Amino acid sequence: MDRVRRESRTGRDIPLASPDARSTLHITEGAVRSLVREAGDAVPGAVVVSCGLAGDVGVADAPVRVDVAVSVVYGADVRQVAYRVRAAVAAALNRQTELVVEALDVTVRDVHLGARDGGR
Amino acid sequence: MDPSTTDGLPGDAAPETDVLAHELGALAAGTDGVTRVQARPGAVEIARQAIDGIASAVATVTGRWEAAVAVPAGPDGRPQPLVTLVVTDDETRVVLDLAVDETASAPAVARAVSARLLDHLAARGLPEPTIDVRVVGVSS
Repeated sequence: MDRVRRESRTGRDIPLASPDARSTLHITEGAVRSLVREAGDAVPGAVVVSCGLAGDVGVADAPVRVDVAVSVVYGADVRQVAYRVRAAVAAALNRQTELVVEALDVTVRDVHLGARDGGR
Repeated sequence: MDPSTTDGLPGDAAPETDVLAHELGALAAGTDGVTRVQARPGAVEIARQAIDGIASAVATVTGRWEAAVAVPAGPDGRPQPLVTLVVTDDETRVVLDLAVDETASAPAVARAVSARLLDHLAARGLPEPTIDVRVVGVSS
């Protein structure tokens, strides 16, 4: 729960490009973390355990490393699930942020029984 | 109950600023891809600091109007949008937080909201407008 609480915090402001100098645009780190979590959780057989952004996200165009830890349902193809999580998270970040992601690492931290998460 | 609240308003300027803040909130909420508009915690203070700086304090500001305004939910039940608006002799500053639909693009939505608000403020002939938009959530 501590991880979830930490991720739900607003966190740092991540800049978004603005064509007008009179505008200051940001997306919060908390919003990005939630986005990562939702994208990963949407993959069948995966539950996101934690996610983190490493790097100077407050600076536009600074390279950022994204770490996602997941639990995979017992019996699933662990590698396939990890690939799908990675693809889903990459797509979500590409659509909703302007982060320069230099690495997106998915780590399978755990295996859970299907019944634990409603039979996913 | 009056849906709007206003802080530190000098007399006659309050109603006009309230109306403008309502208009800005409604414009932001009505932008494609926006699911929620909400006040940023401490936004009035942020805007005050951004405009005044530390040294200039009140010396260069002869008038100030601030409003944190809530627009009531419409018939479609959309949540109440809130914006913070600070108007001085030199600058008009708008601060707001947004949640964006997951099918939209958060950067594009933020830019669209900013552009709409700037256009609206330009039409009102107010002092130099600046907009501070922050996406705080992406939801389905």
